[in-house]
Amino acid sequence: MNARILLWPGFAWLVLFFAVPLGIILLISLAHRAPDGMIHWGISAENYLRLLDPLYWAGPFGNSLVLAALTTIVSLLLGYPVAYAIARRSGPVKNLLLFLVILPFFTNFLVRIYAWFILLRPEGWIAWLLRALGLDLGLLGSPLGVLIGLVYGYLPFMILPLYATVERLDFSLVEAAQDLGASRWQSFWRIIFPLSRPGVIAGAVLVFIPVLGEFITPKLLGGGKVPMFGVLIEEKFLGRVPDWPLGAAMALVLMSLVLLVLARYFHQLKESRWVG
Amino acid sequence: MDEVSVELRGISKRFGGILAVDRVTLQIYRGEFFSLLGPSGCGKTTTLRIIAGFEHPDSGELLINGSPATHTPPQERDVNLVFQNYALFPHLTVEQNVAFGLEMQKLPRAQIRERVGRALELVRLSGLGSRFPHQLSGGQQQRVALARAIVTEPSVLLLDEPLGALDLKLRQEMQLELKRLQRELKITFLYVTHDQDEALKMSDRLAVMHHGRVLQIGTPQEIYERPATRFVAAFIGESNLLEGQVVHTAGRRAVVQIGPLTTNVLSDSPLQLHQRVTLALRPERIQLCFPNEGHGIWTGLVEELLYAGKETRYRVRVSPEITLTVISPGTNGITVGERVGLTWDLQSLRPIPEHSA
Amino acid sequence: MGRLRRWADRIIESLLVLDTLLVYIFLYLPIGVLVLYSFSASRYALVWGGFSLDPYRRLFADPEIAPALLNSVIVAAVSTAIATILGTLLALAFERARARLQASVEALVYLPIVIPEIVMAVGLLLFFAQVLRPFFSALGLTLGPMPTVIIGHVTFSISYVMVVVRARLRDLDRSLEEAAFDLGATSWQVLRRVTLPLLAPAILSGALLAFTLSLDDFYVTYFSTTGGSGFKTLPLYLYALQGRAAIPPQMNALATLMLLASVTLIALALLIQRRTRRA
Repeated sequence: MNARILLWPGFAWLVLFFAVPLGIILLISLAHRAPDGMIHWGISAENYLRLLDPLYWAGPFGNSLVLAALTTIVSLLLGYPVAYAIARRSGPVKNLLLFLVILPFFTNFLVRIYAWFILLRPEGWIAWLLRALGLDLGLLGSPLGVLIGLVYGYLPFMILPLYATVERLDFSLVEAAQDLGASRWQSFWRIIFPLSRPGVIAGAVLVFIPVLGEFITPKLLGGGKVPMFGVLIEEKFLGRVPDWPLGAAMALVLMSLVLLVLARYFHQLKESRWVG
Repeated sequence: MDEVSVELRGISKRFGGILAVDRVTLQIYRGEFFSLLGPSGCGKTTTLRIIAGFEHPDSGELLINGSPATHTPPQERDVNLVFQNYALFPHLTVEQNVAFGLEMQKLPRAQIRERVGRALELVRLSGLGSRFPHQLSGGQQQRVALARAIVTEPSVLLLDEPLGALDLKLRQEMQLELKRLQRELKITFLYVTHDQDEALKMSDRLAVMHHGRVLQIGTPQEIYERPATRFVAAFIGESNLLEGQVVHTAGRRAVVQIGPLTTNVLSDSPLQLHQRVTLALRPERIQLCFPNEGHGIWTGLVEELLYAGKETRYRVRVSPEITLTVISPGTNGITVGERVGLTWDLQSLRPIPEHSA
Repeated sequence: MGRLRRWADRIIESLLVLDTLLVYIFLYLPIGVLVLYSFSASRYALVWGGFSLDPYRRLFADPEIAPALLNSVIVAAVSTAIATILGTLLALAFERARARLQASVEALVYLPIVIPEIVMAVGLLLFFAQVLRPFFSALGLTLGPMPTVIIGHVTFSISYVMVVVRARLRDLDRSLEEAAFDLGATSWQVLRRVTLPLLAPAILSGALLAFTLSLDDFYVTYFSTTGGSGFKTLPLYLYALQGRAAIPPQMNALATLMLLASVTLIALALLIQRRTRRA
């Protein structure tokens, strides 16, 4: 039996409901929106030209890239020690720690962001704590608040691939390095970290890409003051003044950035067992 | 009196409920090739790792080159370990692997390059410096691990069953290589193995371990010719072990009764009348002869024989309860079912001390 | 020199332990707050007013909850069923096809996992508005909100199921299937009586994953149900509550219950995984 026939049902579904929609996004992005709201089909690059406006790139597009990069870096710095700590443990403690990291990932995203909403608002605990320390940061409605929410949402996505890679490393290599005179730090930096690169890249990609397209977190925690791709796209499709062609063009710009990152790192992504 | 390179005093280590190392005390002299020999699980690897610094003993002291080292971290010990699985850094080339220890010592680049080159020459891997470990064969990887460990010129080199993964021919080659290397470099080698053949061939001295305890320390000849316990007698080479009772003594000579048979025994310390003894007789020390010649000490019936090319093994029944294993070179044309005479040198029959494991 | 290094190492180690601790606190602080406030006797979700089960009472009394919950469960169940079948078939195709499938096919299947969900959501919105609805209208039928949501959910779940099942398929001992062939079984029989039974735990895990993703989904659901149909799943209901002037306290209660449901589901999934490893 040729196993290829098993491919068709799933593949056909994805073509119809995934590839075709992407195609429609492309088509609509080339269309024109008349002042009365009607869409005139055709091939025009006007939407893309509008998006070349530096205002977009200094604003929402730039914000998205910067926040995505920051989220990735912060997640890596915070998450690597955790992944390492779990990988080095054994037995029930390890499984428990792992479970505790996976759990937030499976709880409702909205719920968690909402929880941050509670924590970050001016009457909330964190603001209270900060004021006690003499800092008056308006976290809610600021990029910092959004960053916190983003790191919170995506930290498990960084920790898990890192863990998968670090766990498979041969730790006698660390002993060998120490035997040859390396300090703990040196044996980490020169042996463990380079060998965990696939995991680092996988984690980075799994954080960077979704954050680029985020809309809930910046909307809820940003109070309208932290525009990102997702927020803008939502406005253009479901806001008060819809502009589907422009929104579609934005979605495609977002998509191209994503594909750029993927093209560079897809292979490494599959190496790390998390995806494949 | 030679200098002592490594000294262990009463080192013990417990893992959970198991006593892996039990009050081990030994001294290894500078420039020696010393082996720790024993079956799997006897504690030899743990002992090695304690010396390397990767395990902390529960009690006892460790001295390296005369100074206490029990709590020194592995980075600071003048000891290098050749790992059983080589532990080569997969993302570094052969050269970079070997250079690692020197880089940790922060030596100048030119000097590092020179010493790495020399080390690679020593292990006969010059020219493979820019390859990666996965591109090398097992034997080559093993030599890289060796080069990496010796290039920093430690005073003691620890080797954890380094030849285990190699096939027979290669292993034999490497045994000679290692011995040659050790003589050239004059570093103290502490070698762990379960292969007694290897240990006897390569060591200046060795210690036999079992259940965490050191049973006997000595030169290969001492260990082979005068095993101190039943276990050593059985583990090193092969022994026929015979239980008997002393029925007559005359100074260092005695007559021992083993079942229906008797034989003369020469012992280092006088035996007592009626004392129960265990005697060890190695199969290759028994000679087969015609049963009626009057030369044979005992006679027996050949029950099995196994021809193995350079030697033949026989199982000879000498009494209803006693069967001896005999190994003779080549073949004697003896067949199963024949009666044969067995004879041996007085020196070959050794009594084993009473309190033995 | 050694002393200094030992000191530095020790400091770094403590920092790392501290970081790990802080991360776990960071991860669970909001959840803790949420659960705590779900027991607060106050008319506002964000104010503490003494211990009470009031939010839960309000939750169960809310007329909008029941339909939202029902919708969520139906959508999850149906989409999980479809996605699990399609995803498993895909996994089998990838791992058992005689010739390697083209990279582009693989890319299409992995893409939904990696791209931002909003792109898929927008695509589906356009697809439904510009293609599917007109198509149904032309046939004289109307396309309700639930089918479109189900379609959307299946679309993003397929790839996740495929990944889980494929991973297990890779680890499977091939010689078991070979033995079956050797004993005379046909391809179908081997599939039915050897492969699928061995794969069952992974398929179940994949299904649980799809179910959880569906229950939790916001983006695709949100973009698929525009047009004022009033169709809501739980996440959408939650989102709508945000819009009100004063956020009602049952929000916390709902959030806590959803949390509980998720925990149970993953614990189940992990248990199944653990059993598989022993087998």
